[in-house]
Amino acid sequence: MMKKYAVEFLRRGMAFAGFGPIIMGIVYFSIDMNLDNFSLNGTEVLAAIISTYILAFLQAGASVFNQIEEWSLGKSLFWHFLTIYVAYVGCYLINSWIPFEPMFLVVFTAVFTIGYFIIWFIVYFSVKATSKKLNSKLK
Amino acid sequence: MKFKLIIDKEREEELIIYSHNKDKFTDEIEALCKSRSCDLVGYKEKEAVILDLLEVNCFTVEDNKVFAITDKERLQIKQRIYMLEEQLPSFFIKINQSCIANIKRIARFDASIGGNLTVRFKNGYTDYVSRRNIKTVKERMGL
Repeated sequence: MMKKYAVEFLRRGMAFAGFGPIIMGIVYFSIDMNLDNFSLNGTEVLAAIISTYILAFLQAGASVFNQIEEWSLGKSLFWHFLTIYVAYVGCYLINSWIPFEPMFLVVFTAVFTIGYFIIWFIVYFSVKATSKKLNSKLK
Repeated sequence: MKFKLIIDKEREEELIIYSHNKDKFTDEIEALCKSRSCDLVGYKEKEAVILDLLEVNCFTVEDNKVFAITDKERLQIKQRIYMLEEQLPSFFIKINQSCIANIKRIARFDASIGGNLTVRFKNGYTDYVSRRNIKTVKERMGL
């Protein structure tokens, strides 16, 4: 049964991984349009492409954790959060978008955690409302 | 309700019902009619069983094989899922790329922690509604 979820993880990851570098390209393009002396060397560009590709792959693939019936709600949420967090913090550090300093990591972690749970609450309660309406139609 | 049977070997066989609303009776007639047209057969090992569509919770794809999930068993189907979608009665609805659900066999909808809408069938089997299919499911459920 777990093989099914592993395959689904890979399928989703591969389907959306390409969006990472595309979004990164758009962000760098916007920065370039607004900063005078913005430039990247070849190593930085390659690191950015690979890291954002992996980030998008993990983010899309991790969505399957929430559908593993054998896992409890807490376990699914924990692994989803952890995977996304590691992917983001790794990507930000590799690309030097945040410095590798404890204080910055603490602030990043706090902002990421708050943001993650705000989005989670909004999505969850929106879907909960939809499920309630659909259930009323089943009766 | 009146019943009229016209035997005419020249015309294409057709069943038309004038009803005040769509209910269990019309669904059963539709299922019977569709079953007769497409003769869905499920296989369990080497045994072939003609499916009673009202008893099927859903059709799902696992390892590139299509299965009909009933309360008691899972039967393999020869048709591909996209072919089934066209053949099945209107109380079957595609909920994601790999699952066609029988609305009559849905016990309840739930929100998963990942923000997905999940479907729990009367036999306890669960699957999810993909974001692409949510709009269609809501429309078909009368929302």
